[in-house]
Amino acid sequence: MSEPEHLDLRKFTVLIVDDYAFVSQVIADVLKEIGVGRVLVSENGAHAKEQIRSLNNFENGSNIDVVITDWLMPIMDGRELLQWIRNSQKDTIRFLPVVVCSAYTSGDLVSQTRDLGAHEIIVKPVSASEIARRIQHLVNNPRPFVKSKTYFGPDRRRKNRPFDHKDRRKANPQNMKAHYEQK
Amino acid sequence: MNKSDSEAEIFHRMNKLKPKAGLSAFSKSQGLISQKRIEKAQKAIDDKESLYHEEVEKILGNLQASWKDYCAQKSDNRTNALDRIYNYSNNVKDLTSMYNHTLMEYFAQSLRDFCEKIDVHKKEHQIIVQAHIDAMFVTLHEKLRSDESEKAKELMDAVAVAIEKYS
Repeated sequence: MSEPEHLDLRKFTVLIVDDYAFVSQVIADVLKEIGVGRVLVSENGAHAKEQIRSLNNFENGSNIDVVITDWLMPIMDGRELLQWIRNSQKDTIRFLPVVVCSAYTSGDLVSQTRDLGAHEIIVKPVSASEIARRIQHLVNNPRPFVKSKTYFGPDRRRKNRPFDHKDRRKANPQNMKAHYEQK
Repeated sequence: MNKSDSEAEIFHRMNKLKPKAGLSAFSKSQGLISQKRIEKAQKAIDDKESLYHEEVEKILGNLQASWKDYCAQKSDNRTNALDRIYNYSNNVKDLTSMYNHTLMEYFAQSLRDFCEKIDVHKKEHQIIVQAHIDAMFVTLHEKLRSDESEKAKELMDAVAVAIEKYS
């Protein structure tokens, strides 16, 4: 196995969406300390939408790379923001990695965020190691995206576990259309 | 299941984050954030605890103002104030859980959860909210941190009695 290398996050832009300024400031401080070059903050989903629209309108070096969003927020919450991102017609928006950060820890929320296409979930209270671990994971292990009639988002099968059900992808390869992004 | 239900597309994307982080997109090596940086970042969180008291005082002030607003409104116009009370108690919960102030966290979560059940037409429910707010102010001003002290248990009991009696 190759030796680990240090990530240089100076060119990264992360958008934090949280209605509570104290928490977004804490997360912003953590991101800056771990080396993230640009940290943006939105106080609700509606404001975040505007920021994403203006920075990710087309692909360039100043795109937002990762969105970290709270779930419960006034005006437009994390769920609506996530749905808007995944329903976007623009590749620079719909494929955005989204990390949900919430104090709710119920199984319902975990499956809800997963089924709406979130990449990761961080349970509040936040810690520096947890935020760093999630960023590392997004950088090192990007997942392909899956589009079906009921879902669009990162492949929900994270691990290569053996399972004893019928694998629909292998059983019906004619139903599976693969897209490979060119360099 | 018909064919269209089982149809799926899979998008294999280039890893754009890895090159942006200074590594090759095709390299098998796992990029790491240095432990030293993570420790410094955790210190940034810990250092902010000095602002805890002032911050909670500020949110409780907002919460109390929203509560006054709620009580002053006719029942049908209370939703907006109730939403604010919900959000402020959720903010207190987020803050207290970060710094392990378990008693305040208990009341904040209890109030937030009660906001989901409150009947805006029921006057008795207001007693429950008031009991939470009073307990939160006592917790703050007497600097009660853990939910295990005698005083903490007394406050928790008082709120529990209000919930049981007026629900």
